Amino acid sequence: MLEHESKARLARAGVRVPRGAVATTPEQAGSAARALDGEVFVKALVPANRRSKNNGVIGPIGRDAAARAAHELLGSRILGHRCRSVYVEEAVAVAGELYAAFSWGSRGPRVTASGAGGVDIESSGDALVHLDLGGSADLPQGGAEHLWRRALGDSRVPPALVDLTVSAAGVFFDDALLVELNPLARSADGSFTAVGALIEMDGNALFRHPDLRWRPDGLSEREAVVAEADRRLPGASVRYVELDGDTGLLVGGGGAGLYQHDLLVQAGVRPANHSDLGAGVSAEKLDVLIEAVLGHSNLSRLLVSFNILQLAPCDLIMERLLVGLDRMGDRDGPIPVVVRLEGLNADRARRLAAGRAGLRYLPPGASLGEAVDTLVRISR
Amino acid sequence: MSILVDERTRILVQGITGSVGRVDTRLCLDYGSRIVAGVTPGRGGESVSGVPVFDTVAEAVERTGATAAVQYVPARHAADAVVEAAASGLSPIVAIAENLPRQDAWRAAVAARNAGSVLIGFNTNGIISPGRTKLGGIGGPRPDDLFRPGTVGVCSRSGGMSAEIARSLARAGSGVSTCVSMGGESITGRTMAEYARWFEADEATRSIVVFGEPGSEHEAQLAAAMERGEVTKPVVAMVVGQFQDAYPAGSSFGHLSAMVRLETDRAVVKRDMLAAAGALIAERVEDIPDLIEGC
Repeated sequence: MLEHESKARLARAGVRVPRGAVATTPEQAGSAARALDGEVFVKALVPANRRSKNNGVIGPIGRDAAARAAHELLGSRILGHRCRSVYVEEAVAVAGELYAAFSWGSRGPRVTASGAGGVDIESSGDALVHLDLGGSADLPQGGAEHLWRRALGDSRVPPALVDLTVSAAGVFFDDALLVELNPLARSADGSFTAVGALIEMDGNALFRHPDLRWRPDGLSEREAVVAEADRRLPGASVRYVELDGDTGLLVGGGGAGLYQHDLLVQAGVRPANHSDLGAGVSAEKLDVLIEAVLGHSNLSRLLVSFNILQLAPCDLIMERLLVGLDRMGDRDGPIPVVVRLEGLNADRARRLAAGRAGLRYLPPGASLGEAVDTLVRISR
Repeated sequence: MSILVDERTRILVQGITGSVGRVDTRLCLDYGSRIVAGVTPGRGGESVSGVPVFDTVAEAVERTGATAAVQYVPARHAADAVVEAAASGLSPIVAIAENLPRQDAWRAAVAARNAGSVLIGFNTNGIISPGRTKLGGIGGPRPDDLFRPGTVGVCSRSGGMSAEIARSLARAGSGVSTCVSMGGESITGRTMAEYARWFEADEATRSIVVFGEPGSEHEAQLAAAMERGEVTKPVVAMVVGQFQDAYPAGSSFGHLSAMVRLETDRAVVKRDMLAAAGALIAERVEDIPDLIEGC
């Protein structure tokens, strides 16, 4: 979620956030600033952290300087993202900075707090206090108070801080993977405001949130196409991560893909992508994934190697692969392809592949490691 | 002997009338698994491969004496299915579904644990005690080609790699006591260390093989259990995903849970922790039989 969306969500739950407005032109930014009191910040709305250290935040500045600041940010590239809109926000007078975050670990939901806030607080270890929330899907007042007593080293915890933390827990337990308030500002009047706020929603739970739209932020064009198809089409999941090497990977399941990628990198081969494909994938999804893998401009060889297939048929994968290779055409002759496909319907897959120039189908019983070794030999 | 399941396990299949549920049920029956009941709400009275279908788990358990469950239920209903099975006292509960909302997976894991049920999954292809029984798609249409009876306990984050490991053992003339695909999601019912302790207590298991990935605390917990002397049988560990160190933290490859956020999520760190606790580290699947032989 972008900053203004995160803050709107928190505000609805009762967490105090600075007043602000979104602007897509310098003029809008100027009038947004005039509606606020005192000094303002102008922030690039890009899906990335650490904006303030990467020229993505200007301020605090006078209200009259907001339009010029917006002019500077709009259209620029910040942390790899084009800035298309800015957030104009009132500068809150800060008497002290705190930190609070809700996240998921393998022991379940956890809340982390610190009496000190700031950009690098997450990696400063010692200053952080953790509380595992166990089996409950909420944070009771008593839990929040206990947490802050430890984080602040003070037995008197302001009730406003407890309330804010409980409200933020409600936002977290509404299908967020991460809710981070940093800095959480204490004002001289004793109030607390989430000056920095970040929410990451659970993409697997979007069916419960029709108001939210999935956004392919930070993905390459081909990655976005595969991710979009994965959401839209039926069947087991497909994943595609683009890299800058020259060896295409059509691999799976998850473990086998990681394993073979390791072996390739150890042998000095540079993959053009990583991929994964669940059991029971559909032909349509397979087509989208294959097109993405074969579409990489650096592609000079391809490894097609899966775990012994226990449910997905080998011939389906081979059929769609051959269609993809045909469509790709001969740039400078066919690219070398090493195939390790075993399991359901492997005999038919072999027959389909027979006689295909450049394609080497490993004999039955070949291991994942042998497939990688064969590819490494070809690439030398 | 075996852990968690054997030839006496009376299996109930939730979602038996779906396409995958039907196929797997047929294959499990052919293998000799005692599937005694199926459940699909609204389909009570039907039968699949001769197995009677009921509307609710409670009714099926009462009528058939089922003791364990395997579930072919879509992700958005998977947590409720686990809660229902746990409430009827079934254990283990094998949950195939993947990509669950984190909150749902956690709710199900907590409910199962509180009921004393062993939840295997989410995102598992099942558990097999070769020659005795199997629950789930593990082994595919010809389980005997991959899984031979033997003395090695296998616990893997990846279902596909369970099969590769078992086959390399079979080729070396060795075999498996029980092989459990513990689940590839970030939230699983039980930890790798718990499975290792069950293998420790199983007389028929002489050594343990674990397969891990980046992300999660499973390998660190196992190393700690070994350090404390809770696992004394030889452990051979394979942890993949080292290449991820070359990419920015937070990138996810393969299993969504295999994401590196913390230093201790890294494959190399996990490998070092396990080696320091006395585990033998396999670089390749083919190394595993030799490492076990040398134990």
